[in-house]
Amino acid sequence: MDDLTKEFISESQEGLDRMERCLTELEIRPQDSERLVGEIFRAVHTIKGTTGFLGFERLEKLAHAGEHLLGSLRDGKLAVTSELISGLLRLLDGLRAILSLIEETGGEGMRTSDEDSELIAELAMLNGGGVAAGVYAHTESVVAMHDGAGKAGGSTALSVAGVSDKTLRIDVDVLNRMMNLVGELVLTRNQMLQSGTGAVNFPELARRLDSVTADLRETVMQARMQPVGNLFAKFPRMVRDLARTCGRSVRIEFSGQETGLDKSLLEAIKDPLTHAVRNAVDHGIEPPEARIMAGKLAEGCLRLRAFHQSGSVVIEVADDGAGIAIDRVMAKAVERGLVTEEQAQGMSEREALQLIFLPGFSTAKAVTNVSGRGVGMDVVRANVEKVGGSVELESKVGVGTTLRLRVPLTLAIVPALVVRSGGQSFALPQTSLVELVYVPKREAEEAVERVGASEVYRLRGRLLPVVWLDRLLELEAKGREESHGFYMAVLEAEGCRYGLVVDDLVAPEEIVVKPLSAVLREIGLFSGATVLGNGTLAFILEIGAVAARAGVKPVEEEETEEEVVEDRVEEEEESTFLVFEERARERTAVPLDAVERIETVPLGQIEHAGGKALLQYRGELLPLSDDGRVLGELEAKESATVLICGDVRKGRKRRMGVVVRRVLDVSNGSRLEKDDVTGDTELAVVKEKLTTVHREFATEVESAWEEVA
Amino acid sequence: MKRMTRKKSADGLAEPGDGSVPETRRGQKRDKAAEVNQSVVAETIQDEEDVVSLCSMSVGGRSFGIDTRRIGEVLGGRELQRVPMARAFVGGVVPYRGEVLTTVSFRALLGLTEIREKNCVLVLEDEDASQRFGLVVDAVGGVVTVSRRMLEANPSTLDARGKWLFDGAYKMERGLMVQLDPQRLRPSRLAEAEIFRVGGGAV
Repeated sequence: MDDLTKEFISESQEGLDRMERCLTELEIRPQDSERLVGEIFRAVHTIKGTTGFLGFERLEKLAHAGEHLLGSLRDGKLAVTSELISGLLRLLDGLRAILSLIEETGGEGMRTSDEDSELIAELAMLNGGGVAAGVYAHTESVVAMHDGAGKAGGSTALSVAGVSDKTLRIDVDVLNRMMNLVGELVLTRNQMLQSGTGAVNFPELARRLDSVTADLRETVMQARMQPVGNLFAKFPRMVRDLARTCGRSVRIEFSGQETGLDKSLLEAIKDPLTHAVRNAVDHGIEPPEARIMAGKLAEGCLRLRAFHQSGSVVIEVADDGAGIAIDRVMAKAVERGLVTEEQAQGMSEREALQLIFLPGFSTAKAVTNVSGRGVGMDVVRANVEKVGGSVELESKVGVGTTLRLRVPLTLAIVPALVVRSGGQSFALPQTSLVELVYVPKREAEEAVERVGASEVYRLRGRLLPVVWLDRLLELEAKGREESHGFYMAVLEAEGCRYGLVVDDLVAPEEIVVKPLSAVLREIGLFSGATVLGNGTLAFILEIGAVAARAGVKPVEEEETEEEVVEDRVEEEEESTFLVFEERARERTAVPLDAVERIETVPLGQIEHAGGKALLQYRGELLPLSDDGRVLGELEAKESATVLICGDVRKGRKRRMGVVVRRVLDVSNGSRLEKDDVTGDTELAVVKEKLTTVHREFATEVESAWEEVA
Repeated sequence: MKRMTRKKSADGLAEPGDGSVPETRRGQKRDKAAEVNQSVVAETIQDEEDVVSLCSMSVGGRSFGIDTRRIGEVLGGRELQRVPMARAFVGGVVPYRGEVLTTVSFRALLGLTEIREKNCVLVLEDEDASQRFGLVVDAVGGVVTVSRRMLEANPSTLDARGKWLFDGAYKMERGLMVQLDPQRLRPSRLAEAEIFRVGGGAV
């Protein structure tokens, strides 16, 4: 195929994409017809003009028929009807089919020429105005043709993907900038080679190299960025066709199309997103009658939104449909044997929603040809997580469902935490990292407790499964310094949460991901490797796979284990307290949800005014409560432990600090009824020990705040 | 990059026929690999049908040879990064031209104990250089030019491991040099072979 033809094909495909967009828009907003029809006309006209020149007669004939019809439409001789739009869409499919044939074989072929003449006849008929009788007479052939066009459309879509995978449009400015930066890189290298490492200006050169590299990286990334709109563009047509097959009436709205996303990521989320949109139309949005009964507009609305949020791109698919009925989800999950009846009983709404992501789950009442074939949300989640993203689901019965795909800006470079274990370095992707816990040497012994053979760590009152990285990977247990304890990275992926024990934390680093060979991928624990600053390689741990290897189950399942369920029942009557020592030898507690942070404050930072201790904390003046007179006992150089509390329960915005001797525990407990014995202080039993509830957080003391303030 | 390497080697060493010779990396890696390269000498022999140039190497005191056309580069004195949970034959990984190169430990394949010192890594590649892997050996000798007539097939008494790994032996003046077939040493091929499963850490 010569260059001219190649160029023609890629141009025509772009034109047809534009035409597709305009056609679906035209149906929604006929008032804009002048502009839209003009655009469509131009696309077809360009194809017709160029084909004549290149000698593709079949294509020219079809394009000519289309142009003729569009001409009438432009002149206002025809009105925009849904039949007309369907006819034009079939014209579009026809043109695409021929184009892909040319792309594959180099010639336009005559195999399906019959189809063309039927299509041309249909277009002519639409043009002729004999809509009423004519269309019905031709219904059968139209249907048959539609099938054919559908198939052709399918193959076109495939080949279009093939072309767009390999080519990328880049702004010439960006390319020039890249070239400049490469030039600078070469210059810096030359200087470095000439001066050698011992030179005086070496640090300066290294700095320049650093900044040039950073700039170059950014520019290349920018070049790889594609607007999400490219991905959205195919949805109007898909939603239109889907809505027709499912008997729905759906309007589609976009926002944030200009949000940029790395090209490889865009490809990676294409299928999950398509699936999500299909789900929304088929399962989410109700049939028009049902919507009217529910007091909604007959036309459902599907919103696709893309935006940046804290370093990642969020793509949201929201419908205003029926929402997900939790009881049905649970019933289905029980029926499919994914959870037991008892497990389902104990689940919160949020947990139940997560069931949708289990393999083999589908709530569709019947299997339609659109969805409900068992390939479900689990695949969506798996695909998105594969590229380092996450999926969130929100749903309200009767109001609608929102699915959020959160993906990193780019695949090639990910923020990660480099850790060491057994003398080797490993990288943990920051997206899965929840928090880091340091267990000092003196506490290391008691910190990890055992349930049978498995080890757990008590993290804020919840048991967290502990996985030792060196043991899991059968590494030689070396490199851990006896003098310090260990670090635990709390990780979360695929619904699993666990603590990964490592010897040391090295540094948070932006790592460049290198793929692994098949033999190493087969191990199943590493998603790639990276070259660290010191030139050594570090494997990137696949958090979900490590969890699976260590036997950590997703939280939903784990929580429904029998003993935990019992615990949970009790929990509902109790509340969780933070227990600390305020007055010597007395246990005092505050409800855990009131505590925002535990801070260690040097005594010098605590100021006094009007006989009260105050702390300037994040631009706010916090009154400190010091019932145990701890501040008086501290030496000048020492630090005080202060609980930063905000009382969420009573809806107050005010915060305060509580000075404590030491924090003892986080545990469940229940408040005691007030009686003569207890007097004014409210007591609670926490871990079977009598504990005073701090006066600020006792249920009935209301005036205490004014006292302090 | 690739082309440049080839060209330079042809210029510098006047290699007959196919100009591919074990080449060390230029630039910062030169010093490390220099000692390996020094011994790489090409003899000028007329390009005949039955002449093969082999890169000789030694593992566990034995001598082996691999067709130089399959060798992309020799990395000398590299510290290999071990791969936890990998199969026993995986010698580790090493950064190579912006890639992570998986290496096969020939000592492990022969059932010998690993030496944890610095090793030599032969970078082996396919004809189109699409698939690369490294072969870890004790030391690389040099390029020897041999005649196909000197090759004799594996003895029938050879065990299964040997039959898989060896591709006949050249009768050299000083002892035998066993020929290896890079295709059979590919990690993906080895992973399929039952005989190398034993001792593998992977489940």
